[in-house]
Amino acid sequence: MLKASARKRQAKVGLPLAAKWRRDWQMVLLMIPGVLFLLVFFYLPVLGNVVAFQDFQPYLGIMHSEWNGLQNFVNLYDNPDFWDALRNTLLLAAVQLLLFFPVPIGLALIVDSLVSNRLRRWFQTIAYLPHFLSWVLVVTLFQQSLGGAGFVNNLLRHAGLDPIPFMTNPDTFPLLVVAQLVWKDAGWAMIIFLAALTTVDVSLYEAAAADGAGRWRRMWHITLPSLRTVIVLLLILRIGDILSVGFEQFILQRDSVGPGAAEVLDTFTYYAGVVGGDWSSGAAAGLAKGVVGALLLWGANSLAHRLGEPGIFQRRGA
Amino acid sequence: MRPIWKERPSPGYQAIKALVLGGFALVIVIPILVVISTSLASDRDIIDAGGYVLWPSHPTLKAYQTLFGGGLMGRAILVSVFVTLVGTAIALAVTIALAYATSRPVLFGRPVLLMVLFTLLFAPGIIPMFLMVKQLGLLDSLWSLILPGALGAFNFVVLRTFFMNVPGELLESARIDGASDFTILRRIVLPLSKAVVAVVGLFYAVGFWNAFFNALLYLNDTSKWPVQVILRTYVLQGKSLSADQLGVHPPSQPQSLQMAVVVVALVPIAMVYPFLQRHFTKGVITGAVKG
Amino acid sequence: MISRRRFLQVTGAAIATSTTLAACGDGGASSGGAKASGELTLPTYKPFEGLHPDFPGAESGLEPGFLKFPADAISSVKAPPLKSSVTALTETFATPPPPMGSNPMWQALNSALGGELKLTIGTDPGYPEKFATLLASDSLPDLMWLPPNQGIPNIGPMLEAKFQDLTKYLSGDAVLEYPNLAALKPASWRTAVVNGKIWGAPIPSTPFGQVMMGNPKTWAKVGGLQCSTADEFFAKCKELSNGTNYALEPAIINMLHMFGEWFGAPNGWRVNQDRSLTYLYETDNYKAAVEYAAKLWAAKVFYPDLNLADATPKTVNGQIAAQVTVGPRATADFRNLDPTLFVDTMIPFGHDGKAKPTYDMGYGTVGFTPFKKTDEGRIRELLALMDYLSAPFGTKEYLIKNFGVEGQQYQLDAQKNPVLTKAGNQQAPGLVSALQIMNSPESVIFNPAYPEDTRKIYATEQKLLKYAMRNPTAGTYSDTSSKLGPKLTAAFRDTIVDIVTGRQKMDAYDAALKRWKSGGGDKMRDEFAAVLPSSVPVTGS
Repeated sequence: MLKASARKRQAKVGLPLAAKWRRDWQMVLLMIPGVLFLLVFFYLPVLGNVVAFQDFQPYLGIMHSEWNGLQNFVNLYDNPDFWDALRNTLLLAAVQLLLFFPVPIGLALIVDSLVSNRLRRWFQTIAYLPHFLSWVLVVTLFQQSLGGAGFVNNLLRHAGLDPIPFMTNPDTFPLLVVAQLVWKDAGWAMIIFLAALTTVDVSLYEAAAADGAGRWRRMWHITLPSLRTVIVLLLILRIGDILSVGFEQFILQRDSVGPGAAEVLDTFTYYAGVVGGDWSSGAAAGLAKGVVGALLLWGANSLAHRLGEPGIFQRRGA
Repeated sequence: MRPIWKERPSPGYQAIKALVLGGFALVIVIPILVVISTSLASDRDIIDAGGYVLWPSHPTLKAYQTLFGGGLMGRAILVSVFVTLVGTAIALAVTIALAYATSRPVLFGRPVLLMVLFTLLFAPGIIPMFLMVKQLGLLDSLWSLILPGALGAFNFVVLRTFFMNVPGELLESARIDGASDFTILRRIVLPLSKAVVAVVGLFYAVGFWNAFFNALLYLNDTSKWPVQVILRTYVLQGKSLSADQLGVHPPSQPQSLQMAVVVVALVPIAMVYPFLQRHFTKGVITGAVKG
Repeated sequence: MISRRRFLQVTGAAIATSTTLAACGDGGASSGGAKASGELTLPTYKPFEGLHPDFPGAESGLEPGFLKFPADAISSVKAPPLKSSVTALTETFATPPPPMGSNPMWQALNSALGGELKLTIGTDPGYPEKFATLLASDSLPDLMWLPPNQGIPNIGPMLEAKFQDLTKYLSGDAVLEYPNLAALKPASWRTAVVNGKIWGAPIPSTPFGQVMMGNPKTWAKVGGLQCSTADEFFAKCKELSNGTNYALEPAIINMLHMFGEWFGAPNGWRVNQDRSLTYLYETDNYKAAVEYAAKLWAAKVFYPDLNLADATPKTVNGQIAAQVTVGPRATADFRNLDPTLFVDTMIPFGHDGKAKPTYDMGYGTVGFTPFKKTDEGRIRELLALMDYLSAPFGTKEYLIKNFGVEGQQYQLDAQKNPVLTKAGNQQAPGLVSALQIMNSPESVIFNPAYPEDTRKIYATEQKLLKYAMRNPTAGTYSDTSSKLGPKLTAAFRDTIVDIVTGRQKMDAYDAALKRWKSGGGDKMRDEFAAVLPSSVPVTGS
């Protein structure tokens, strides 16, 4: 009976192990299947990434391939194309964060404000469909509508106007990327915010309305704060993963706008490593990306703590 | 039903809302209609349109008949449904248990949390994974599609965050009533987190449904291939690098057939969401707290 | 899917211009590979007797043409090859077949072979990964198709480590024990030679490289597809591009390859008088072709969306006037969509009406299928299987492999040509594609429903052969080319596409060329020049 409050108080102080075990054994039991999965399907195989320090050949295996130290990383560092790809990646990630990230939140708020249940369901069902279409199809459909020979430009031509190079202008490529992302995934990303909105206490609205708070004030003071944790969480995850902006979407459109605008880290790695069966380079790029991601994740998480959010990893005793 | 406290929106605001949602829905519906129309189009329609068809003038089910007339499609759907159902159930159970256990300050909680977060950053290579799957004797078994995907770090983090938001007082009072950790999870935490569990379940289901690469690597028996692998062989056929490069020239599949596969791969998973939406209702927490 | 196609343009070294393909197929150890290859005695060539094509083939690469399937197919093997079951990794380019258990055609093949042929069927993408995982896990099947230049590097040491040297079973007259293998041409066999040893039976494909094909209905408006000067072609393209119609498929690199032929660019490398080598990119001819392509792009005659997955239906309906395909036999792809359409094939011409054009021949095979290391008895059994599956067009074995059993998977039409039945259409395509990619006889021209096409394609091949050029480095090996070739080519092509589409100016060409040279191009040249066989002639023009 005292267990719970004891747990809370003593978390900082530290109990003897045996006492902790007596208190927490059920929780530890619950962890076991997950930890087992992690060990077997992640931690053992992830050790294979040592090939990043090898000239790995599948026919020799890890045991017999030659070690070459940091050579794979040096090659990466020395390649100017790598830095171009990095620059593009960061630019695209920034644009995605600014222009894509808020869209599903906005959509969720609008959908949430719909009174008609039926309308709400219909819209959600439609909005999440494009998530299931592959990038190949999405890019093709965009081309059918916005391409040089697409629907819009053919209309422009009929009207005697000049076609607009939506799909081929390297300068506006980031906008195109975001537009495609919004089309494909905004409805999908909205779902998680809708789920978060279900945790809002409805009586708060009632009370606020009684106090004379209007639509906007209610949204600002009740709805948005309830989304705050999720928004921060997703933001942190996104920042930790900032070096991945997508692969297929870019490789598909690399020719149309040129590598100058569309080469990102993942496509770079693909051409530099995977294409030639160079497993080691691929692993090296993956490791480098992971280390950077770890730093970013840590930074974003600390920032969240400063803002009073739990983030994804809590300080001891927090 | 409009709650009594909610004022009628101004016509201007309503118009903007309608425009945004209506516009968004329209840009989605039209291309998807094109996909469906093309799957129903005759060869003549497709050649006249040079590819995608807005509205088939001679609609036909030929593509679907070809698809299900023989070969692997029917079986592949069963495989995909099985993998998705079983996979989602296992993954949800594992993830819920782990997320709940690490959502409170308990023994081993922090190291285990770190263990999971680490998986966000690095990925095991294809070859070591293959060796592991082989060691476990899972090659050519559907379990090779299910088990490696049983714990997603993203889903774990989301679920854990929601679990952490469950009011502490609720758990506290349950404990005072003598409830075990298992009971608290089952009786309090899960019912309060229905929406997010539904969402994470959906994320898992979609992940299992869309996966194809594991199947290519781990399954030699084509009769065990899931829908997505079949989809790719139809849609990629004749356009693949190797085919071009090698000068092997299988004519590409008719556009109608390609789109029919896209539709077939889309419909079952698209049907899941409407069922989940019923869990997206508000006010549960209020009730629970008050009750 | 589009990515794959694009990928072809970048690394794939569109068959005809490739040096890397040759390097992979024929290469091996970093030293001595080429020399040893020279000392090897290739399998004795003994064409299959008892077949009478309507149009004879020739050593030049001309494919024999058949107007109809030979009546009373003869048998090319004496006994079923297998005593026990065999496992093999292969790839299908069609939709995967129903599995063996529910595929009567596969079962019929098994009983003809005398044992089960258990195929692991890979698809694209994913084949190189599948190959590598099997290799790394040491769970090799008996046979593994080894594609050229698909991301499988260091073929020489890999073969030595894991696969069976077949030289003593196949070199010289030893091959005569397997008559269908002896009927494969020496040019094909060179693919299967690495480090001076033979590692498997080659898989011949068409020896022809890329060609430009145009819809005659479209080109009729401007007097036909054939041109005699580049300016004439330009003017015709301009006239054909209006409204929503465009003259050319937007596959820049492939189109550029065609223009290069008109401007006299070499096939890969040019052998100079002093037997030094000049790479395609270093020639003024190719540079001129790039300039010409940029001019065409600026005139808006290319279809404006670069990543067009499949141009074929657009060529059929006239939205695009011409596209690039592999080999003159590709006319069949258009027939498939529109039975009334026989597309024209462009015959290369001199850009100014005077210069001699070239026509670049292709690689000619799709690699070879090596054996897992094993004992002599098993080797003989597997070779017999290879022999069976390489049975020439017109034999009983060819029928069983490609069409199945009469009355079940195929029937004879009025002209006595085999035609797949409904059951055959379900069981055959995926299986046949998987079998063809691991073993094939020499190719033929055969269009059962349109015998006239066979006659015309045969004539086209004769015209193309007048200008035919082969890559002088084919069959030799450069370590650098094998390792860096694909990456260097990819980077250079990126610049070319930028130039043609106006994203960069022509002066970027020289900068890119410099990078190509210093990045490994010069080294490649040295390595190729050092092993250039004396039999390779100085490049004309």
